[in-house]
Amino acid sequence: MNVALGRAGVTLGLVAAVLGVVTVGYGLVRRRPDLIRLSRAYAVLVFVGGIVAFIAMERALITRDFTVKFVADNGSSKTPALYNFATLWSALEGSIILWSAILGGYLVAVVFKFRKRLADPLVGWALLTMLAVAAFFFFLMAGPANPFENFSPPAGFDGPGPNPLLQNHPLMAFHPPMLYLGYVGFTVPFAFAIAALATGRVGEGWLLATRRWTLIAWGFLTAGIILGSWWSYEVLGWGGYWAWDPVENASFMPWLTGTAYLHSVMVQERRGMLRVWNISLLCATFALTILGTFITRSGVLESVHAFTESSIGPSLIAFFALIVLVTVGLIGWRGDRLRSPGRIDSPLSREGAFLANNVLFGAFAFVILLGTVFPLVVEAINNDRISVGVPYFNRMTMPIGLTLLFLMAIAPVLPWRKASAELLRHRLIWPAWVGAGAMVFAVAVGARGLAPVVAFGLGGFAAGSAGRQLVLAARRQGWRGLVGRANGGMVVHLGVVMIAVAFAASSSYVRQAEFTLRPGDTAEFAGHTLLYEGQNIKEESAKTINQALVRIDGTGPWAPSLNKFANGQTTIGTPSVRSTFTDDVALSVIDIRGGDDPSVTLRVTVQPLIIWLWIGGGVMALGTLLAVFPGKRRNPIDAVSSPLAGASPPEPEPEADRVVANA
Amino acid sequence: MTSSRETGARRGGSNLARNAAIVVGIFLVGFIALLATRGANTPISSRIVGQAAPNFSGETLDGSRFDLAMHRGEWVIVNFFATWCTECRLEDPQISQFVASHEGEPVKVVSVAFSDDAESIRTYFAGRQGASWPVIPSDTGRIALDYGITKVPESYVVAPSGLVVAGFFGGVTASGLDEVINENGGMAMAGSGS
Amino acid sequence: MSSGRTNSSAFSSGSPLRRLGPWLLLGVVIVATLSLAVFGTRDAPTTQDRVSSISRTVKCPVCSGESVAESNAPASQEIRRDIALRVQEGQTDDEIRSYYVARYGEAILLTPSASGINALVWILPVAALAVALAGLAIVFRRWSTEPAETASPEDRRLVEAALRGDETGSSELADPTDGHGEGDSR
Repeated sequence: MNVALGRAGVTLGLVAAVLGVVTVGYGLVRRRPDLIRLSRAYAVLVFVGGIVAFIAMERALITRDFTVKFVADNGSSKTPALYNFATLWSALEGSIILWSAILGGYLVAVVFKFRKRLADPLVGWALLTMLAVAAFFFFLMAGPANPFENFSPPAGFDGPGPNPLLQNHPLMAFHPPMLYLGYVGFTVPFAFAIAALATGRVGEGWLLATRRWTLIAWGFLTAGIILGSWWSYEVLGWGGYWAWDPVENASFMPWLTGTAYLHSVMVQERRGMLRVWNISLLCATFALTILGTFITRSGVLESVHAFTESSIGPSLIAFFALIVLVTVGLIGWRGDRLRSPGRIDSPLSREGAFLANNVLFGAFAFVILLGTVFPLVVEAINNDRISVGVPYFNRMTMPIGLTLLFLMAIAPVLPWRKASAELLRHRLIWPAWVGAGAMVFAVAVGARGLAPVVAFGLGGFAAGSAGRQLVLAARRQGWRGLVGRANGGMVVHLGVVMIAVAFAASSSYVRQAEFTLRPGDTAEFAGHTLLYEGQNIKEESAKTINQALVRIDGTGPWAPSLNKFANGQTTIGTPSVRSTFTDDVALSVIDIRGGDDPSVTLRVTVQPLIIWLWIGGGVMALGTLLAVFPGKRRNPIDAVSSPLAGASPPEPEPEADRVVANA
Repeated sequence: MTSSRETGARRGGSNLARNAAIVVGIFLVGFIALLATRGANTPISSRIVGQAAPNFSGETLDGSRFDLAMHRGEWVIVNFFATWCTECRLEDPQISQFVASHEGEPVKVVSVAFSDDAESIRTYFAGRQGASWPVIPSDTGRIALDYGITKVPESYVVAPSGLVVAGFFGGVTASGLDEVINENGGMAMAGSGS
Repeated sequence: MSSGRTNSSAFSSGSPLRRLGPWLLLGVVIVATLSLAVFGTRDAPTTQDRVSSISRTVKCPVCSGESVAESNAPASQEIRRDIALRVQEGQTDDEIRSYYVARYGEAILLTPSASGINALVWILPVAALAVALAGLAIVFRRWSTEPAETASPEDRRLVEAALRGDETGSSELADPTDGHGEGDSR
């Protein structure tokens, strides 16, 4: 029943997507608006197909219908409800269902948003592109990664349940959907970029049409990445939250190119420049999401997050190749129309800062891509095995990150076109003192070492500058000074600063040790006192939890544990973390022994400021929401770029006037 | 992914964009070919095969000493195991059989514990009326790391010359060990070591 | 700046000392703080700290991508214990690492060496960044030396052709009210 329903959904989606591509494509070539408008119906059908498949699978999981092979492989009658629901995206086939359903949702949203312009070739080509992407993912479900295979379970059959690591923390229910909303969301601006290239309307129209979509996708991707690192901090139990693992890198690379795009797109909106570059960035972002899925799912690169390996690797790499071929070909073909009419007058200007920002984000993404695939390159060349890990990435990205923080501090106060030294001196003095204050404070409380202290200083500088912009905007416009893209962006900057400072502090001042304690023993470490009270064993339906009860500085007891899952032979540790605003004490059990000589071996990791990573993530999400919220908008009819340099008067800087008036 | 120099596209920018697209395209084709042709990667494993066997000595379960240097001129199978490892328990009968079939020949087997405690090893072998070959319940781990152990069971065949000629990553079989010894000269080699 | 005149007069009022004073003071504070941060007293790293910093650079041989500091695999526990032993024996960090390289190959280190082809992983990013910056510098130089772009006769001819509704002209300029070539896309 569920198999039939699911297959019906997949078939519906696949057929609708393919027919949609054919019909809309024919309509676009033959200039038949009636055919182009049919995209609406096909989009809805694709969405219905994805939702039917999703519902069929959830229904099968919830009713433990083991006649569906996916449920037999990944479900279990012992899995608690929340994780059972999340089982859908704990394995490859199910995650493709989620991907397709989300893509269907975005399709319908685009059709609704542009309902009055469906016959516009730009929208037509965009929908065609989205339908083609949908066709690919439904094809995956119909063929290489079919989630609805039959299985005849023997009497009393029970599945193994999802990977124990994936049913150890509620964040698992939220992190993958968020990440997918981000990944899939970039399909929309990508589709419009392709449409712009295909129609030759490479001006700013498609940019304005998609900027909010890009921002939303970026926000989801940000939230997904941060929830993912929170999950690994809470679950994997090694005291860290970011390991520069191939899968983490795979999600971070599109984030970097997407972030670069969000900045450089402003130069194009304002000055009509960087057209090739912006289209390339968007296409790279989308291509990197597919590459990321390939890396996660193909098993070519080893990763702690690659929970399933499968045969869809070739399909994904072929699709990646197709995307690259199409976009590179289109950009080459449209190169003459993409030439930008403007020029940048001075490096010391807003647009100059955005250029520098893009170079740095590009270098950042390049370092990560290189480090991630370099072992493959070396193996291909001389058959030697090497590893590229955390120390490499930390060392290479640290200078880039610090320079980005510096840019974050000065760019927001820079005017467009040209800035004078006087102006900078005036606008930057207070942010610079905030930065110096942050450094003095850090050193006063005991921070040592050049890199982290510089990071704190630059973080303070950037925060001061973002704060200055927000204060000025709020003074000018009241609460509306916090909404809109520029102001929301400053809130995002504050979140980024929190994360950067927390990252610098936690990776520079991490202390780790192992202790073997008998009940009643205490240990002193990094200014904290640990008291082992004893062992506590809890039986749950899916697992046996062997807890070590530990008091940290008299609080608690905290209960890190080793969990033995009923179905697998695997034992998974669950760490326990005592968080405060200044530092985190993370405990994980390495070994625990009962009997007549009871003892526990604990790993203790003390890292400062960890909690600010999650707070910073929340602030970034909030800032994205504020940025999406329509602020005081530029009239879309207004010219956004001057066709001839000098034809329009330079924009006044109202804020500068205000400062002077207040002074 | 494209060069930031594209930002310079202006007059004549068509050429720049087109050339950049070609360069980037070629680069990416190579990249895709690389990803498409790579299989799943091989795990890290010991580099000791083909090198001189690292020497070691230790106290065995029965209280005597085992010193690898004393067995130069004999075939020595250095086996690493742990009592918590199922595959090690499965290979046990095979080692017993191998030891029995080479009674009186210049062939020795020595088992070294890996990440285990002497107490469980004693209990384990006591339950099986003892092992018929020396077992070092060493707990320092230094011997295992000298051989580059990644996980147990792993076994290395040390030729009479003192060279490690083969490694078994996973359980051994008596016939597999015989095969390696025969391929490398068999009993004729024994005694020829320096 | 449209209001540049008022601004600059407002900014430049006062002596140079008054203008630059806050920045000079800032510079002094930063230099003092940084030198304290770099040369100030700090706790000497304990044996435990050295062990954990070395173990973070050694890869767990049986895991995917984790270091032995993070992993709980038996091999990682053994290597951690061995590192602690070697630190107590007085070996240097590099001696300890090269011992593992001899046993497991270079893949055991999470940081590739800077020799042979492996050096590329260190050099390429720096080279790419240098090329990008050089490209930017060239572009800025060109922008600052070349005169601003004006419409060429050919451009005018194209526009006129488009205004006449001539299909051979650039089709996106067919709409005279559509200066940006956007059609009705807004």
